[in-house]
Amino acid sequence: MKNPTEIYLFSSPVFWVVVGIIIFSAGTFFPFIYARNYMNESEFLDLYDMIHDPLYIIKNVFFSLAMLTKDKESKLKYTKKPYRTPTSFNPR
Amino acid sequence: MKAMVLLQISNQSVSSVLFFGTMGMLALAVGLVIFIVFHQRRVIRYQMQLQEMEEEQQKILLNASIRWQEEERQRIAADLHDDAGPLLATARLYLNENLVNQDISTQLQSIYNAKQIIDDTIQLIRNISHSLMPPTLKNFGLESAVNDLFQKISGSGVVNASCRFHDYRQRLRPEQELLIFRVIQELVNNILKHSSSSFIHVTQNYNEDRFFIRLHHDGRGITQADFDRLNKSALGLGLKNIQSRVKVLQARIEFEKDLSQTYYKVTMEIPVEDHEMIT
Repeated sequence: MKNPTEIYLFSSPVFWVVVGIIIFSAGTFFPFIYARNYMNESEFLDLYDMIHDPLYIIKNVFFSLAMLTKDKESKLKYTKKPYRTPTSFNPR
Repeated sequence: MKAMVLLQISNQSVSSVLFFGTMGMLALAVGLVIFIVFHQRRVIRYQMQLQEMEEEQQKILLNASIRWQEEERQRIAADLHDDAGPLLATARLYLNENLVNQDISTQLQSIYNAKQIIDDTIQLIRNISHSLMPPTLKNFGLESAVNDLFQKISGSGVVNASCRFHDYRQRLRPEQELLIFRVIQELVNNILKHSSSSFIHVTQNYNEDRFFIRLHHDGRGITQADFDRLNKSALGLGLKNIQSRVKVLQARIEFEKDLSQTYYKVTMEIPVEDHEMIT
């Protein structure tokens, strides 16, 4: 809460992930509840697909937005190279 | 047949529940997200406002300190130009080249006069330098400096000024002492200028890493509300100076009226680390 730029929501990837999860779970709440008993009926299946598929796409769009959002902190953190360098390579 | 109808009815109700329920849930979810975003925006705006206000206050204080510096410079320049300049010019007149052609008694008289004037000038410059930086403060500490100041004030006979340092065995850091002394000086100055009080009394205490200075007087004083108001307005250069010095000291200053409603009290609380004190 100290620095206003730090709490600006759209710049944090976690926000987009959370929004995607919330919308997907809220939208598919009823279809998933009825799925157990009505899965055999074609009418229900149509409706299920009609609700589930767009929401699935929306969720993935939000996830991709989260991945595209640049995280300031992660840019600063450099990890060590995961592969072997010639000097560290020792066959024996 | 009956079962088919029942199934159809239940199917219809299921699909309507599915449709409206999903819509409702989605609306709730979107509403929640929108609410959070707007709330966050409001918080950000509020913080921005707070920051702006703080910056404004900082600017006022900075302006005040710059103006004060300029005024001080003007005062010193005026002192030097109006007092020291003419005195030295007069001394130079006495010691002109024509002196060698005059008889010995006139020569002696001129030299004596010039010496007198130069002595006066030395005294004057000493006064100016002392008013800029009291030597007692540097050499003997806050207590002596405040005592010195108050003796001078009491000497005028108008105001009875006294001070009492209860717990001042160790000196503070020199820059802290100077800041505290300047604040006391400014407060006393204000009291002499505005309050028409008959006494000023300063007490000092030291308690749990805190250095307390309390100042009482019985004239017309100001309370904390007045102090805050004057601090925000363009008036009250001296008070802004006090404020900025107190800020540098990381201290707290409080203006209040005594419980008996007859005295005004100023309390200054300066945090002091033990290792900061010069043993």
